[in-house]
Order: sequence, then C-alpha cells, then structure tokens
Amino acid sequence: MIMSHSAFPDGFEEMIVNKRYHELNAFELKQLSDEHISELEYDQIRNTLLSLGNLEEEMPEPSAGLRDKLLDAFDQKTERKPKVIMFRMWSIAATAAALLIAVLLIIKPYEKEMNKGISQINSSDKENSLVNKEPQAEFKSKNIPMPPEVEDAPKKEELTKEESGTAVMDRNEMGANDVDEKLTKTAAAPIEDVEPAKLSETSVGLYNAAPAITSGTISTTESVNENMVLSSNKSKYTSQSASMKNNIDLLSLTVMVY
Amino acid sequence: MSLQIPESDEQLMERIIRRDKPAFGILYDRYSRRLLSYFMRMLWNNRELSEDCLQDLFLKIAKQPELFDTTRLFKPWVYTVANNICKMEYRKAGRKGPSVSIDFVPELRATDPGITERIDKRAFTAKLKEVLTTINEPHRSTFVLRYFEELSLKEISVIHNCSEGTVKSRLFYTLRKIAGKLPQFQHI
Repeated sequence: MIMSHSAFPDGFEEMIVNKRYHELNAFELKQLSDEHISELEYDQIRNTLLSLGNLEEEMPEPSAGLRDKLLDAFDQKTERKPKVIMFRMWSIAATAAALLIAVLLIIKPYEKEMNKGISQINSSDKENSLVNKEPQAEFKSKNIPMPPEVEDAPKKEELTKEESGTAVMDRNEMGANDVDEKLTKTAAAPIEDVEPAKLSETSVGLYNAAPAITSGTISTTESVNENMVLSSNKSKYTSQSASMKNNIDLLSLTVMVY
Repeated sequence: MSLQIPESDEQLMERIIRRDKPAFGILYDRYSRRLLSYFMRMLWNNRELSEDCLQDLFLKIAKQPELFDTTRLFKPWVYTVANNICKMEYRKAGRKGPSVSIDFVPELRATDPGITERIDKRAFTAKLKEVLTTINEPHRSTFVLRYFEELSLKEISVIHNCSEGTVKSRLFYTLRKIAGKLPQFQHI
C-alpha cells in the first residue's frame, strides 16, 4: 500500500509536510517553541512523516481456508435459527407437562389424607358436642338410670365441728353406707356447680374413697380431655391443609410463570 | 454499456442482515487483508493470533450482523470492533505476557530496479513496526489507523470515542516519539 499525502489534509500534518523550518511564519514558530520543538527535531518529524507517506508495504493475505470456513459459518447460522426456536418450544412444553404431572402426584396422596383427617375430626366433633351439651343423653339412649340428683353441699357454718371431726378422725369406724352416700352425693355433682369452699369441705371425705367414684362422672371428665386433644388435632389438620393449599397455589403460580 | 457502481459497505451490511451470503463474501474480500494487517500491527506482528482475531471478527458479523446500525458508517464500526478484540488480547497478554514474533520481510533480488530505495523502505517499515510495539495502546492504535489504514481524524475519534483534538495530540506525540527512535531513516 502506498500512501499519498492526501492523508494529511489539515492541521499540523499539512504544516509539517508542506513547510521546511525556515519557511514557517511567526505564529507557527511560536507554536513549536510552546511545544519545545527545536529545528532539528522538527526536521526529524518532517522526514518521518514524509517517509510514512511513501510507505510501501505488502498487505498479508489471510489463509485460503478462512473464507470458506466463514461462509460455512454464515450458512449454519441461517439454517439453525428455526431449529433452535422449535427445540425451545418443545422443551418448554415438555417441562411444563412434567411439572404438572409432578404437582398432581404430590397433591393426590396429601389430599386423601387431608380429607380422611377432616372427616375424622368432624365425626368426633359431633360426638363431643353431644357429650358436652347433654351429659345425660348417653344414659338416656342406653336406658341407664340416671344418678341421683346431688343436693347442695352443706355450708361451712352448717357443718358441726363434731360431724367434721368424726369424718376425719374415725373414718375407719364410719359405716360403708355413710361413705357411699357421701361419695355418691359429691361425685354426682357437676364440677362447675360445686363452689371451691364446698369442694374443700367434701374433699376430706373423698380422700380415701376416690376409686368408688361412679363411672358416669368420670366419663364426663375424660370426654373433656378427649375433646381438647381432638380440638388440638383439628387445628393441626386445619393448619396443615392451609399450608398445603399455599403450596399448591405456589406450584401452580410457578407453572404459570414458567 | 451500463456503469455499475459498487455497493457501499453499509448496503452490503443491509444484505447480510437479510442473510445474503454473496454480500458477506464481498465484504470479506473488501476488508480481510487490511484488517489482517491492522491486527498484525496491533498484536506484535503475530500472524497466527491476528488470523484468529480476523476470524472472530467476521464470525461476529456472520452471526450477529444486526449489531451494526445501518444508518451509521461501516468502516469506523468495524475498526471499533477490531480495536476491542485487540484490547481483549492485551488483557490476555497482561496475564500471560505478549507473544512477540519476528516480522516477515520478503526477500529482494539484487537485480530489482531501485533496489536500494526499496530495501531502505522495507527496513524502515520493519523498524517502524518494531518501534510501534513499544508505544502504548491508544497512541499506537491512533497512529496505525491514521497512517496505515488512512482513516480521517473524525473516523478515528469515533472509534476511540474521543475528540478530534485528542486524536491530533496523540498523533503528534507518537510522531515525535517515533522520529526520535528512527534517526537513521531520514533520507528515504
């Protein structure tokens, strides 16, 4: 490649190429002195610039195979484009289907378990509600005679020192009938109906006779406990189902987003 | 007989974007040699590395021609891409050290006309390339684009994303430095 001086159309290049040092005007000389350029250096720069203008250089030839290689690459790019799109569409559809199946497989067993648990809770709820509201219903349905009504326990003032003292000190001498009678009276009374003061009074008599408490009253207490356990189970199942619903919502959202 | 005006680079690029293979071939023929010589000047006269870079550049054009804005000029754009490839190579070389190779100077026969002058010119060119490798990247690139690739000051300012004044000062600085290192070639 041989460069012509047309490469230096304006500015400092034009000045250097067209003028020798002694041909420069006052303004140009001032510019050179501002740059600390001596006459010798100016001549060196001028000669270099002129040499660059006469530069003779053979440009290297790229290797023969490179052109064909690049043209092949150009062709490949043209052909591949639709294939890539088709492949992407297929892969997206397949992934979405796989995800849906996976979600269904995960949900099914949980759903069954959840329904089972909920139905159990509902049935026990019904039973408990009967026990709580009407403790006598069980007895009525089974034709069991109801325990006798409990009279109000005598007030603290009504109990004589003698009576209470005899109950405590001579309990061994106490007749079995008396004990049974007192126990029946106390045990049959609903817990909530007995005032704390009365309970403390009667508890003395009950101390040794606890096993003799009738089953009817005990069953009421047990059912309360059972009810508490079931209600805790219910809340557990409810929270589980809520979390399951959240998970399902999240999964479906993820699938939709995908 | 109709006079056929050659297509501009920008028109060729428009055809390449529409996946026109012959247009890509024409563009390659038009630019491959000058870009290879540019890479060689910029990359320590390493022919193998320069060919790899040339291949990378044309692969980019083949695969993503739409990166070129057809409303702009092709020449500054392609040299900008080439310059960026060189910068990547400098970064790699910064890690490994530059791979400098001895430039190939074709032999001349003693019977060739004007042999002394031509030997001087070739010797000057070889020495110039050697000196160029010692100059830092923006100055070297500016110098090569101006005096070897014959780009205008404006085109160089676009490639280097700087003002024309900066291009002028870089050129003058490089010229001064080269002139100081080539005092034996004052009468070519």
